[in-house]
Amino acid sequence: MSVVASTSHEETRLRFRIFTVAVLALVAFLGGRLVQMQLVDVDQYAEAAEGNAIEQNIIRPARGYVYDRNGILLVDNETTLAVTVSARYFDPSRLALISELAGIPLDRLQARYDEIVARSGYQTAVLLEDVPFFAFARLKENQYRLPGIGFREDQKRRYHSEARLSHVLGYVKEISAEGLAEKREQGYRLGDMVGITGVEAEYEPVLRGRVGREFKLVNVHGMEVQAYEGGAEDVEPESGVGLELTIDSRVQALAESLFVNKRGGAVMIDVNTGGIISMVSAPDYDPSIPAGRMTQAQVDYLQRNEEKPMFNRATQASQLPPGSTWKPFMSAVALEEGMIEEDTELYCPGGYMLGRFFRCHGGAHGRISVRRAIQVSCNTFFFRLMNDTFETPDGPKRMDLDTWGGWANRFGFGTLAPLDLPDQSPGLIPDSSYFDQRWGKGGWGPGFTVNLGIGQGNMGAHPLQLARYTAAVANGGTLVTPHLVKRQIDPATGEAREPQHPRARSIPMEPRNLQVVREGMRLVATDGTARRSQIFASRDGRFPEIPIAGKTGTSQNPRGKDHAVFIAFAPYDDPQVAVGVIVENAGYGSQTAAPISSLMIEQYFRGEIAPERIGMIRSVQSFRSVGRI
Amino acid sequence: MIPWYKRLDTPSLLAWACLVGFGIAAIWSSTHGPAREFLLDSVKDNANKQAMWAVVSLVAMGIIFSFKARLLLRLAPVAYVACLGLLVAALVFGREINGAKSWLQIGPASLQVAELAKVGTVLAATAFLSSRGVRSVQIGWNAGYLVALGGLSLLVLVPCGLVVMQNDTGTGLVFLAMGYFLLYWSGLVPLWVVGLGAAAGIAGYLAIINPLYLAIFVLLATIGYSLWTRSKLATGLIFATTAGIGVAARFFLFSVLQPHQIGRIVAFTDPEQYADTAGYHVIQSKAAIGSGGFFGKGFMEGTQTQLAYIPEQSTDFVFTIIGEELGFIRGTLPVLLLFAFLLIRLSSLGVSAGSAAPKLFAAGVTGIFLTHLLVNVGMTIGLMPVIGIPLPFVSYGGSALLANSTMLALALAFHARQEEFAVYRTQ
Repeated sequence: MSVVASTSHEETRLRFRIFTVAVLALVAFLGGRLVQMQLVDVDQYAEAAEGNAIEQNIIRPARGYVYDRNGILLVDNETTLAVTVSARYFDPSRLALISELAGIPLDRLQARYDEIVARSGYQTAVLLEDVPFFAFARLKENQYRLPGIGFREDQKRRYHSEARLSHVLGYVKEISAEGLAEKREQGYRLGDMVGITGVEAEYEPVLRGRVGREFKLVNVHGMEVQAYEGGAEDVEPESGVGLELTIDSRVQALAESLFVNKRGGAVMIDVNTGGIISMVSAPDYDPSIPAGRMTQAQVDYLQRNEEKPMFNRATQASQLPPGSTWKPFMSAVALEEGMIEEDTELYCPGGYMLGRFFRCHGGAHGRISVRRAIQVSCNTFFFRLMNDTFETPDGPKRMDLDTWGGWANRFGFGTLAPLDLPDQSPGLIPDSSYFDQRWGKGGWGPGFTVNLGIGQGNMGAHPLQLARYTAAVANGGTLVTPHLVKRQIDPATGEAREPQHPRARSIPMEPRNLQVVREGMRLVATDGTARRSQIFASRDGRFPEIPIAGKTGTSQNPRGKDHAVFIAFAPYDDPQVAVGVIVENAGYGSQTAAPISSLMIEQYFRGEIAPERIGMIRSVQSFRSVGRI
Repeated sequence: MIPWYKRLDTPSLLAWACLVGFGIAAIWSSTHGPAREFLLDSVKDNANKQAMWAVVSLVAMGIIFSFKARLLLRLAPVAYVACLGLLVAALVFGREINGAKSWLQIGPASLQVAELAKVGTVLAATAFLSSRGVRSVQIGWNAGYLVALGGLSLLVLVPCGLVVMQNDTGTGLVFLAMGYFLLYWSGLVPLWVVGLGAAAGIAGYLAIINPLYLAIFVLLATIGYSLWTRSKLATGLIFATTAGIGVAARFFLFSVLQPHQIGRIVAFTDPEQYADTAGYHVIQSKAAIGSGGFFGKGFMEGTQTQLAYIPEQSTDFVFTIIGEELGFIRGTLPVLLLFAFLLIRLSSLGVSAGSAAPKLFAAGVTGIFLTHLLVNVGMTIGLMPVIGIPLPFVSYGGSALLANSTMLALALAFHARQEEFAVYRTQ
């Protein structure tokens, strides 16, 4: 190949043309791509650019306040200072500086930071909460040295009342990872507080209010530069709705103090409306503790302690038989089913023979009618009634076991009440299929069910059910709807709105029959096991007598000391409130459960405890639940 | 006879002014928005400094125009040796910026010597080739031809090697491209051999993008060559070159390089996959340009620019500011068209001069500009790996602006004063 270098004019022109085409092709290559990006896919890139630059700030609204039935403030919020971190803009080596400025050990800070990054490297999260003012100010002064660090005012719940109301209020806590996955759609974000149990959980949607949003342009360092679109897209937060509870915080505080060193629960209910005036479960806890970061000891107490302080004994205890407080119910049912008349006398020889001998309290009662049977708590009387669910040597079958169970359900036992609390147990009322299942069809007889007549054996009821049933006896047969929230108060206008609770149900029972039962219960108070819990006119003459009616009970406990039970309503002649109390492992109902009820009733009606009854508080407080659970 | 200053090409100078104007505006925007407070003090004044460098460049261009063309060409050896000296000095005394040791502090100015070295090299190569009288060189195994080829290679490869030693591979590539274009325009090699080089480049690029495209390209190139040259040798060579380069590139990419090195090269093909490392730049850059749309977001209104999401935005990524704030019709398309115009105009002027020196110089200069344009714009829109070389006349950088303006001025001067090359023409 031996040619002269191709530099002829034509050759040069050819090469120029090729070069020109190459340049144009190249420009077309780049230009084509620009057309695709800037004209065709522009929306996609615009979205990416906005995703970069526009940060949405959630403005948390003030959570709704909580008041008691008298308008006393129970819970509001206090402002706390928090330091946040956006991991993607933050240089972790600056943790040392933060540690120095805030006076917090570096290892703790590092651990918290690692936890945040493990959860999400992109979302802004709280690095330090409840920061003391001076530390906050020092950090803020050094903001320019701490890209990715943000500052925020947070709120936490502040509790004002002497009454802890743990199981009523529940508590709020930073939303968990699982909770977040579930509630992200509703606008919850990492670091948000959410009601976990109690009213805080049940009324979460109204208490929370509406979250506000502001959109900011954020530079590459995560710093807010200016409002997006001049703030046109921003949404103002709306404070949460206030709740006025049916709780009387002073009755509650007294009741809680009476439960010191005890396990158990108590419920006081308005017999006409169903409003819960007091609900105690002991032991309880301070709701502000689970809201924050807990020490190991606190975690152990709340979650691992075998006394289960988080467990609401007032609504969840399902294993405790009601004992003799069941007898008014049995009486009402027997009267209604026509098994007895109000004056029908049955014979008590001091016990009842059914396979073995069941002893009766207080020896032989002889011929006894229903009022007196309630007054002296005659077991024999109620054994006989219960055995009428079978054909026995004493008489024919006059009532089916399932009819009995049906009545129990109508009085609210063995079922869930409509209630504005998340945790509730139905308790236990056995029916024939329950026994069939346990012992086989035909494998059980009167001996298996006779105990049910005196409220023992295979049944369980909690204080809320006891109070509600007592209310139904007191008000003449209306099964009220228990509830905790009386009114919802708009924080902006102060306007109150009554929530729609389900309507009360009527128990189809002859009023006269309940009247007979009430008379029996009155005798218990005036001349029976609860006579020491009567509330007489005060010695200083300021208060007249509050006539009460009630029934003591002792719930047999095969595993330890028996449980003390008491139900009551007052005033006898114009019933306003009903109470159900269970004190676990505390023996006879008359010793602790009755005085507790009596004091709660007095506090409710009089607003104080008469001086001569202060000693009663002391003696109840000194009483302990004994043994293990 | 037309005086030289009347032959000075005004449209090219206007194109220069437009591109410099785009650059200063973009640099102003990136340093006077909300991002300003986070910038280093030395960066805040970049727009003013660039304007000052534009004035310096203008003065330099005036000086160049005042010299006689032959004198300029005779200065080539001096300029070349001076450039090599600067490159060596930078290697020894230089400052390292962004990993490349290519900066030399001289008095108050820090110079990026690799940029200046381009001027000396292209000038020297032009002087060398035109003095050899390339027209009379016989292609083949003879001393004249081998000296021409070898001399050109040496002139280009020595500075290229020094630049690569400074760890500035991108600029090294530019030197190679310059050599390639000089070879192309000199006529020292037949077209089909030049084609081999272009095909090798395309094959290497496609090897990164997609092996399937590579295979199709190898096939088409081979068929095309066989139809065009009807030579078994050429056809065999094109197949061997494209397939060989393609396979070697893929082997090199996936078997020799470390993962992070692979990432830097292939990230542009799938930036999301490398979003935390090499892909970040590409994602942000594309978001900026793409979101600019047809009209742009408005001067000083681009969020990507103003909120500093793009690193190196006034230097290597200046095109993103133009794309985001001025959009397609007011920004990116005009810039592309200005470059296309300038490239074609310069080579056309070179060719029309009728003598070797203006043509060869224009060849070298357009080769440099073309490579910068392709690589720089290509990387901002995700068509090229992120190789840090600036956009001529637009990117912030005094040395580069001065060097590029000088080259433009020389090319224009050689054209305007073509009469003075008569002595070479007869050779």
